[in-house]
Amino acid sequence: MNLRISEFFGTDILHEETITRGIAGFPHSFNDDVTLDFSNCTLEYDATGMIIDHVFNNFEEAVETPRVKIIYDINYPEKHLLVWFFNETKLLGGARDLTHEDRRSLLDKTLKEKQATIEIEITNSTDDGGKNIAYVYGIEKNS
Amino acid sequence: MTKKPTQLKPWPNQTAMLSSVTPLFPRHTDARTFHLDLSQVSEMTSSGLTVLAIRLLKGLGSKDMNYRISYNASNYRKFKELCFLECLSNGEARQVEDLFSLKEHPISNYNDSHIIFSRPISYLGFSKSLNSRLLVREFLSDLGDDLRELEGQFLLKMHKILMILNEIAKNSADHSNADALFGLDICHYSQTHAKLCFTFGDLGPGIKSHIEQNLPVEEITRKAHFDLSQAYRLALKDGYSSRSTINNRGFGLPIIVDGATEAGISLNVFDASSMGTLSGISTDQPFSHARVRKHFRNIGQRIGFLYIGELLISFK
Repeated sequence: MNLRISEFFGTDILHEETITRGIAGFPHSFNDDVTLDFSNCTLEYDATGMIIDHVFNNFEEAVETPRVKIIYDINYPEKHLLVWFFNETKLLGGARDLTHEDRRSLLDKTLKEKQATIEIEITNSTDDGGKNIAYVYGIEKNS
Repeated sequence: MTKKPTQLKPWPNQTAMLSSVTPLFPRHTDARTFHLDLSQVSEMTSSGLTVLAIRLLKGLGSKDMNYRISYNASNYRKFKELCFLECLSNGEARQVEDLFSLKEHPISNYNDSHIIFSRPISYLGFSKSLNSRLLVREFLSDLGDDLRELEGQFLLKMHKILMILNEIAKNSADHSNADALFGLDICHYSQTHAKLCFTFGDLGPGIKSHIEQNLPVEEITRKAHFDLSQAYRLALKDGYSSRSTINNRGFGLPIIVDGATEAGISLNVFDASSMGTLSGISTDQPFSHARVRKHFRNIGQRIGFLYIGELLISFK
């Protein structure tokens, strides 16, 4: 399932209230891989966390190895991407004051426990059309 | 073959802008009235006037000052469009005497052909707001509407700019306890490129002073020996917040400087009390005293706390 976040929540800054207003129109059940396309969105930690938690809370039981692909179109360093997308998620269990390495390790550990994978793909890393960049966490991560 | 413009250098590219502002600093006519003579100014931008407004509001300090402002016929309309006077009078008990309008001169010889877009200066009243984060959202929402209209003309993802400005505005709202101003322009630069310029300034103490005033308990004993590089090392450290709350995670400044690098924005941070500017720094290497010193230049004058960004953008 491919979900363009701006179609559900608009292109204003994503924040808690935007998500609360728009979540009713967002899918509530996921039976396959999910792609969350955050392109053109202005991100806030709490909002991205709410969306990612919503997806992980609503995978059907039949999905044994949930896989979520996050697409974004700004090539921030990985340490900032992890903060923006996961700092407020339940995947990190409320642990916010972590170093980058600890945040990445905790995310990996939690996803492996859930038999899950998250991939972050950065599209068009520069304005003149750079290569896509991918970060993978969880059971599909190459150790 | 047209030479492709390179990225703008953060410094000393903006010395010209600063030197054009310095002579405009008002001469005082009596203890409570400042006369600002702008009659010789032929062209002005929203981002440039924001620098001037911050300098005036911050530099004068006292809340019961009056301004007497002279214009010429050709720049009067621009002042009106960019809401400069409204910004000055948003400070408490300030009176702005608009000398030109009293004379009722005709508008003539007005030429801003190389300015493609100028946004009226925004005044963000954080000091009186009960919910400054809401103010930030409203400001960004309006700005987003304006910027997305320009996406048809330029090869630029405007949300890159919005992401950075969102972090800048939130930092200001959370840490300065003071009002802020914002101006943005797009000007012709070459046949193929335009230059986007923005200024975000606030009337707060700046980064170094704020960090010093809000040191964690374990650092307080070192306050007397706290130098510039130590203050910036803390400010740019991932996860360090001088005011740790549900809204403050301590990633603001690192995201701002790294985001600017990623977006190709040449960003200068003019730090109010330390009279200098930080430019061209990122968080990809460890901070040392030498590295901060390499990126921080003393400009020898107080102009207030300002982020000034410039970005070359291609026409479609």
